[in-house]
Amino acid sequence: MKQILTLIRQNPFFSVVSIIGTAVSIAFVMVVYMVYDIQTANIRPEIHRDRTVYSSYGYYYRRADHSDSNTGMSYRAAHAVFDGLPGAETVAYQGPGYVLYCGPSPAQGMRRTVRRVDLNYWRVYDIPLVAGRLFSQEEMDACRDVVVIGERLAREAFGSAEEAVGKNYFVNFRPKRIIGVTQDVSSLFTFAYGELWMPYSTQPIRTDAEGLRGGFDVVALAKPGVSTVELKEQIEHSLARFNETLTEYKLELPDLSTYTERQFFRSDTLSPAVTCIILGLILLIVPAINVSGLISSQMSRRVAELAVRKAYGARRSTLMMQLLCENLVLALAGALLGFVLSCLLLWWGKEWMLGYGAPGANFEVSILLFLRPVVFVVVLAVCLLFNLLSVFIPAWNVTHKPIAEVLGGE
Amino acid sequence: MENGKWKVENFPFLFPSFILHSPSSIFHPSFLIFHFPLSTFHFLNMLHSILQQIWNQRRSNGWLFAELWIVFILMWYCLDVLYGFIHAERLPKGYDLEHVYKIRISSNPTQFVECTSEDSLQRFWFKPMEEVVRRIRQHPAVENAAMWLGTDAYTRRHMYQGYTVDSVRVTTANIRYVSTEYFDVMRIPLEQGRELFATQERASAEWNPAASPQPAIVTRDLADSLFHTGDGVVGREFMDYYSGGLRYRVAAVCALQKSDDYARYEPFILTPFPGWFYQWQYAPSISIRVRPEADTDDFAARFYREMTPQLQVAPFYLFDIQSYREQKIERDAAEGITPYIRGAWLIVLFFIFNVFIGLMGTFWFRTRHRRCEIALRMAMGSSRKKIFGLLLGEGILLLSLAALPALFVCGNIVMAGATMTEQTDATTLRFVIVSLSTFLLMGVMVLTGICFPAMQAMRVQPAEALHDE
Repeated sequence: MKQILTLIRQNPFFSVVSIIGTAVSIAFVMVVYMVYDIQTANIRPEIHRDRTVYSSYGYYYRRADHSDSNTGMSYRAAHAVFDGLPGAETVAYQGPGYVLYCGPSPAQGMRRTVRRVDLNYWRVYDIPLVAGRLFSQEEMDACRDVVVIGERLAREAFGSAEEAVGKNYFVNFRPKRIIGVTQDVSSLFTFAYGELWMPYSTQPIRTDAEGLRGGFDVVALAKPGVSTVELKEQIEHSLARFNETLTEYKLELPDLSTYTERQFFRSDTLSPAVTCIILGLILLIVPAINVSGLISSQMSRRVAELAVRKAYGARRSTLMMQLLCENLVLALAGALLGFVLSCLLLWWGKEWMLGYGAPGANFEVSILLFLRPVVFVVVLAVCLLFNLLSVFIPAWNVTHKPIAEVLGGE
Repeated sequence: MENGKWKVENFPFLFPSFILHSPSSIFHPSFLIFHFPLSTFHFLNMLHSILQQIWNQRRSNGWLFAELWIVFILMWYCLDVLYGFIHAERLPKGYDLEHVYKIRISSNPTQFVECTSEDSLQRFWFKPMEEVVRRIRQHPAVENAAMWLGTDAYTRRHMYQGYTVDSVRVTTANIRYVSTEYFDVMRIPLEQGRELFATQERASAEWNPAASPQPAIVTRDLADSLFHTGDGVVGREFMDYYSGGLRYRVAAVCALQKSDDYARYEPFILTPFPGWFYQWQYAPSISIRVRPEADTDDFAARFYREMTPQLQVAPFYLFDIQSYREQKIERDAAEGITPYIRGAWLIVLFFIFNVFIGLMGTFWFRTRHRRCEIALRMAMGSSRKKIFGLLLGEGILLLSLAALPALFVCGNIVMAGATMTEQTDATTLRFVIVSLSTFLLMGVMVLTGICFPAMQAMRVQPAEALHDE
């Protein structure tokens, strides 16, 4: 260890370049990983991302000539397809979500994201209540005029969450009684995001097109042990059975997808994880070649030293180990720096990298999102891989040079 | 010494150049008069010398070569993607959305009156709507306002309709139902039939929804597919394919239109509001052009604040105002275009940085290794500038050597159709521009990377360095 530190001190330039090179590469790969991770891992409030299947929008048309095609599906249709799936633990239906004019009075309103949900919504997403309660089954069934609002809205309109409970809030000019206030949800969470929640009505707006018309979509949670792929298959079967009950029309779910599929590469044939791994490798290989070049340049100065040690009986594996360790120290230093760098990058650039600059969105994320143990482990793994990639070949080359040739040349 | 062999070829500039070369240029007598052939010799000498150097150091150059080769291909691909987007973005959309905002008015359900007669429609729907538009126009920052329905820019909300001349062949086009002011608000250039908007009277007289055939402004490509010619089509007639009997007359031809910066041109048709608009209670969108000096960052918020009370003309209220700039940002984010472009830029940046670090590091060691050689060169009369040039030349030559096989791969990528051509076609020009930019970008990084160690090399004191040896 002492030797390693001395070596680092002796070659400040090499050490600095190597550490910076490693740090930037690791930071880059980490950012890619973290962006992927933040958007796909189970993070509150979307705590079941790995086992959710989204119906997304429905699409129906007249079977005979493909006419009268429309997107959307009614509650009745959604219910018929998604109810009683053997592989589903929870099924949450959502009515047409809208941006509506809402405010504490009809005169003071703004456009707000309103979600029409049922009780299962609160099981699929974990959004803690700050005050009051969620709606009851009775309120749900009767579609009462009650609403649950986010903390920010409550504070803006009534001063505090507690104050808001029991007051009226106007949604599209109609008064609704506030029964609960929840913590705010970041718009980073595409599916859980909302500002107001209220019960949906199961009554269809129009009954033409065999009652398919509507704006519902569904989130299904797979039972433990049931994969999302299986659940999707069950849904497809159920959909096919439902279509048999229709005489004139046909319903399709063109965008039935898991969480990750929804979030990225919806149309691609490659799985998102594979794409990210390939991207990560490409991003790693170039700097690895880079550092290899550096090391092999630096190594050529140490050929004599290594040869002498070999002449005195040091084993090849010992020398290899030493070279690997030496560079591991540098790589670890680089990785640590890189990790800090990637956190800073993500923190400063979160709007740029995660929100893509969509304005007006409520974008509050805790730094704790980035500091998760899994992320640390990945940094370490990436670091080891990086080190191995960049040191192995030059070290192998150097330790395999015949001693006589090297020493003879001196 | 790594490249220990001291051969004449390593130092060609020490010997008269004709010993090593006989370039054909010397056979041309006129060349001898000018300075030109001398520098040509020089250059060729240097080239030869550098090539030799590169070959001698093939071990450490191997790494650089591999890196430059891979980075060239990857960077080329990223730049190619970016070129596709940038090129598409630079093509005119056929209208100008700078300083244009979209206002959405909505109807208050508690004040809504369902109208069944012509009379009630006028009283409870169109009169208040006109009043809303009038009040919007009165806002001091508003230059002009237009109502419209149908295909919007930067959204997926498209409205299509099929058109035909002979009732057999159908051409599908994006449709927009607009009021006459729309052309002014959106600054849509008319290519034929400009007289239509010569005077306000003529425009409102011709742009009459009750007329039959209805006036229509079509894009050149729609005219082309309908009439097989883009010229002299003003006045010609065509029909709605689905609702037979609805006839249109070409009132003017406008510039090619696309609904998005990165989209391809699509056929568009602009006509007066349709019959159903006057029968059902539809709230149209309103686009306003704001005076440039009034278009500040907080204009939308200010407008919303000021106009909310004014625009409450029962049953209407101001629901939303958004600039098209904002709508574009939202659209690009939702369609995944922003992450794509940003990802490509980030990767380019990342590679550039790597090229810089890699070359700087390698050349740093190299110049230190070759301290004696450089000193010797200096002792033999080589100027410091020349040493500097030699090192830079080495980098550029290395890059060129890596670029050639890389370009071969890139060419194959294009041939295989693996480039992104959704936005822009893969043309020879695109290939040349992208390749040149890749080379230039990497060249700059190679030079900056080498610059620092080369400066160090320049400062070598020949006496000291040779003494050490």
